[in-house]
Amino acid sequence: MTVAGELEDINQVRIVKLQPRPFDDSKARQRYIYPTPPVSWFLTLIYGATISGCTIDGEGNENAPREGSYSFFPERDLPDGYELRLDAYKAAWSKCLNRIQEIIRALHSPVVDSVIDQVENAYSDELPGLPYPEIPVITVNSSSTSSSLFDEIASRLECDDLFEDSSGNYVTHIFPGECPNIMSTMKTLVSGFVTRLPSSQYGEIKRKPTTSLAIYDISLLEVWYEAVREARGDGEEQIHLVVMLHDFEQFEPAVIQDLFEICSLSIRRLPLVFVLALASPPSPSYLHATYPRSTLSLLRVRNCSLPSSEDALHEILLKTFFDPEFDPDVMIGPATIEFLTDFYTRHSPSLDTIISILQLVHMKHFEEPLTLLVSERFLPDAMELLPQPDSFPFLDSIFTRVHHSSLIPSVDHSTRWRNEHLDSLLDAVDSARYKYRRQAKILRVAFQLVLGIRRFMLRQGYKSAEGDRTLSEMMCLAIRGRFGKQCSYLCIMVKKLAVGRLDNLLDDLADFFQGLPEDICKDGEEVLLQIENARSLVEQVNDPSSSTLDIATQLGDSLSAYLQTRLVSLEESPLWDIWYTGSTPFPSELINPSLRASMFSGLLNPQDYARRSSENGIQDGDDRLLDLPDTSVMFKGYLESGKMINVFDWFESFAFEVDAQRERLKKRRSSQGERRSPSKAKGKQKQLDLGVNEEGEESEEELWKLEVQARFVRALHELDYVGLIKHTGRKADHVLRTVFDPPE
Amino acid sequence: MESENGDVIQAIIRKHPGYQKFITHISALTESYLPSFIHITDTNNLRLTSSVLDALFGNASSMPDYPPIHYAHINAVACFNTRLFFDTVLNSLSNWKVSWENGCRNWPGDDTQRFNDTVDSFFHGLRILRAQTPQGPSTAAKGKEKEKDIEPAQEEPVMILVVEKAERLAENLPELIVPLSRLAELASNLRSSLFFMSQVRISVAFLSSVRWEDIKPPLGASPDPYCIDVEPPNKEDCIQRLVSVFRSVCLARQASNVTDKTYHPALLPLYEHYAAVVYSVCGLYTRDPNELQYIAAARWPGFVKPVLAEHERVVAESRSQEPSGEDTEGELDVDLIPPTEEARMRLTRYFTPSLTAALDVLYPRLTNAAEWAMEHDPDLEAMSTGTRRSDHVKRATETSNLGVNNLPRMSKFILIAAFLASTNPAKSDMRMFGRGADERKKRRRKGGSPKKSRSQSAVAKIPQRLLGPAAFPLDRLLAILGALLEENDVETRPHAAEYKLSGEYTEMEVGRAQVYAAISELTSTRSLHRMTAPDRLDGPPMFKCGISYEVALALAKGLGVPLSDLMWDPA
Repeated sequence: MTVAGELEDINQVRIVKLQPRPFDDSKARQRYIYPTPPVSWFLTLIYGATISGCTIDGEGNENAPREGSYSFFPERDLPDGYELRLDAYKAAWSKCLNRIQEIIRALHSPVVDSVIDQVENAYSDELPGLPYPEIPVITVNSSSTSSSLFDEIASRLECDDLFEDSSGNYVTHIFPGECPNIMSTMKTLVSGFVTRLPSSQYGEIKRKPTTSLAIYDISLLEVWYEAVREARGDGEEQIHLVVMLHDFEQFEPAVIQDLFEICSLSIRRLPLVFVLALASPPSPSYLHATYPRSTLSLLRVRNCSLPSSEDALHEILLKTFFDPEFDPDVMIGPATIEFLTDFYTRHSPSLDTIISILQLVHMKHFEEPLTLLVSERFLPDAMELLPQPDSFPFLDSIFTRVHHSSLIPSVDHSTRWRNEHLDSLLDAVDSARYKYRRQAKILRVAFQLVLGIRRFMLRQGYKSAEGDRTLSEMMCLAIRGRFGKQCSYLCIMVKKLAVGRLDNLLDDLADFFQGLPEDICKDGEEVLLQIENARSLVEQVNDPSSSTLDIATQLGDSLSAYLQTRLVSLEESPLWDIWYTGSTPFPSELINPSLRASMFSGLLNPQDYARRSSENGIQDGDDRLLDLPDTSVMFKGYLESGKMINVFDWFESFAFEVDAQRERLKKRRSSQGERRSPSKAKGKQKQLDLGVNEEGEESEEELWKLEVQARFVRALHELDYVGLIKHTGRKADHVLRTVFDPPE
Repeated sequence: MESENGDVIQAIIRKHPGYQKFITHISALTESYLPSFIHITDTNNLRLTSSVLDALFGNASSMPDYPPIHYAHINAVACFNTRLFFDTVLNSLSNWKVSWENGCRNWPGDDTQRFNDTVDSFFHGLRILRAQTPQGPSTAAKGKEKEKDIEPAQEEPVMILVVEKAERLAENLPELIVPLSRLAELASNLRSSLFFMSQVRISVAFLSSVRWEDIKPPLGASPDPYCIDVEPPNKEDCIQRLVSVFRSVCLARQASNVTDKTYHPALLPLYEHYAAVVYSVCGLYTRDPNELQYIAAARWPGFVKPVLAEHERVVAESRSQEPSGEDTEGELDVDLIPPTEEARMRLTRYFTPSLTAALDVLYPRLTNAAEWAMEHDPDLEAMSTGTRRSDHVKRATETSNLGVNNLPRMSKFILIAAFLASTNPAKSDMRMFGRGADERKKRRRKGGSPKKSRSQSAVAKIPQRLLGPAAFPLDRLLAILGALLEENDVETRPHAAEYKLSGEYTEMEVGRAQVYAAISELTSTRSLHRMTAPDRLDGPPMFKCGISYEVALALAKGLGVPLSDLMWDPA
């Protein structure tokens, strides 16, 4: 018997397949609880290529139906649509991710520079006359958990200059896990440096374990440093021993106190510099809240913190989705931007949050079969795959969409198919793609133009140009095509500009248009021409007379016209939903579920999460309660009881349900056995029945009762563990309910 | 000979004002007979006392009246296990130089065994060390000792072992206290016949900020030490110390040819007054000479800046008057002169408020001295026009506001809820946060508390806010958080049509995973303190608020929460 088989006997649960329910918002809203689509589906999306073929089956049955197993829309998907879309997703996401990481690196670079700078000057800019030398400590507040920032700092410190052969500094990393006590901390610190040879002229020197200095002795580090200094000679360059303490909040404060105290004793002889990687914001300061004054007074703390988190979010959004230079495969819609901004400011202002939310958006976007066509890359495969008969539903869905769009004049659907050719269909998709891309790009240019004018006005001191919208709200308005009010206000401001300022604005605008990538340049030619005209006119007119006002008015009007035609909703282009997520809501329950609600929905509707087994794929719809897992059965009883539950009564009702389940199972087995292989099964069944009859039903019943008890206790503990039960000594054999009014 | 020794000691006394009694005491003991176990209690500043001891014993060779001394000064924090302790003591007593080339060997002794595994072997090492010393000490310092050893009737060398922060020894290595306290006796007696010079004269001095009674091992296992208390420094001593540091910095900077004149010997009279001012401002709050020194060092560059600027102006003038004389001579001609009495008074008046500001920021080390000095570098122009005050005030408000903007919105609400949960009594929650017409009216206890209760309880009730935060369970935190969110956060949330009942949306929001994540994150940054062990599963976890009233107020202001209305006992 397989392991799965044993499991089956214990709990009668078998998961046939991790099949997701289609994520339907309207249904979810009606039911009040917002059900979480199984995260496993997203996991399978990530690792899908490797495990998609094998479904988890009781017998390890590989022959389970595979077509459309992960598709939400099997009726119009390609046979291998899931895998193909996975590839498309990977390509699109990695393009987006690379861009984001570039931006993040750019955001980090000033911090890295300042940390390097502070390390280099750690011992040169000391204030004279201090009572004792302090340990230079640099704190870096980084909300991102990825270590890329610190890796970069470390690598920059170790080989500062490409042209110098020997690096100026030694860097050691210490992680909280290595430091349960002061001895291991000192050992990590000292051995981190000492394992490197002071220089090539020294061979490996053997230290005797007993009669040499211990590896956790700071004097060993001092001796090593002496050797390094001798080997280097009296160079001008100061060597620093940089110690990086990662995840500083996780260190035991008592250990770190001792560490600083010990290092402080030898700071005259050792040029140590500590870099602390803090995840908490610079204030309220973790360091000051945790460590006593006696420790703090040993340190000279300098802080390097990343730019304000909100700016980072805007920078990433602007440069990824609103930059004329960059063309993301999938454009995020206003719903996503709103969710991202809200989540970021409300819950977790970290760069990792942005990345994971955007990744989820991409994943969700690629649920739609049509997204296969997101880029041109798919085409060579498509040409082989599409002519096959299985692909017809997919083609038909494209055809319907293309047909209804404005690209092809409307003729009767069925008759059109006759003269439709695959190539022409794909051409239509291509042209739609081209059209969308162009429109999106123009939108980006126009949005940047608005921002540029706004910046200019703010620079000139016009506070009203700022408006009452935040940057992310403006982004949402722009892609919804409702940005007109803000634009026209700015254009009115342009119209009223005085000569000197108008001249500056014209310069700015001309620079902006000339800096655009070539393929977009043409679009702006008209405005550029207008600008050049205005420029020459402004140059001619020297005195501020009425004619300048005319120039300004003209310019304002033409800008306004330019913006109005370009800042239109992206949903107006054909097949837009392939490239644009539009107002699809973000599956926020995946990232920030409500614990209690998800728990109840899981207990009440377990079939939403893991489909229950019926024997070999045969399902009955009517006996849902009977097939519930034990914990859910218990929970039903829980909901029906009073404030206190008598455990014995609970057990009785549980046993009743479970007995009924067992009966059903028996019945089903026998009927199936007959159905599947009459002769064999009958024989077996007979033997079994005989065996049961002969060897005594009693022992079997005993076993069954034990099993029911065991299952009851297990389910009870599960409920206990999630906190639904409170034990009080008030009444014997009774437990207290903790939840009285669950939703639904 | 007496006077020779006296001179050295006088020099040390001059360098360490306030330690005269201590120094004469110790040196008198050393000259006659040093007790084998001493406990020095210094509740003020261990660092200074230990530097005094170093000065006394570290160059004992210059003290002709002393017996030859082997001195080891170790820190009990740094020597956290026995091996480290023994190694450090032996290396230091024998003046052994560990070097990388010979594999970082410890003091080898007679090269037959290790001395760092047990207390016995450590004693053995001490005896070997004692046996070796008369023959040939390895360093030059001992060479001198040797000569003297022969002349004045074979005076016996003394080993002195100073253990700083001895209270930590009681924590880390309690098993060592008894052997250390009877070190002389134990190291001498055991198997004494094996060595030709069995007598080891060794003194152990514990230097600690707590009294011997507090670290004494039980059952009287150690003999009582010879106790010495170090007196706290008085006003003159503190000022003298500041001045003497100035002198030494001057010398050091002259020796290394620093052109900057901030620490110029000519400024010494000015510095004396400055030190007095620093003491008069800060002495109320701290008398720790190191802290005073820290603040003085941070303010001094700004303080002398006008003087130096004036001097530079004079130099430039005289140079322009002299028809192209050599530059170096021109500079030498104009000496840096300390400012006049009146100028000094003006300087003092101008900078005194900033000294208080420095104390506020530097004493708790909210920033470091170098940065503070840079930030508060006086603007000479502003000084002449007198616009300083507003500038300082502006800076102060800026720094206080900086604090709370980095937190996400939900964490801010959680912190306010935690603050309220920690200050309000749990019984009052229903009245404070309950929604309804009647409850509004009887909100909050009235400011003037009824007389009846006062007469009943003789002791005036101290508001909870001053008593420190009370612990509260997680459930209560979440309930208060829900009430706060319902009142103050509903409008800012994104619209969600699926929630129809009032309060339903808030309830969902409070139960979200990110709220719990934020609570544990705040706990890890010590803005909340978890009072129950993390691995305890039964019962709700208890927390305490870790933020101050001021921070809570600033947070509430940012979010538009009327904090004082929600406090049961607003002050």
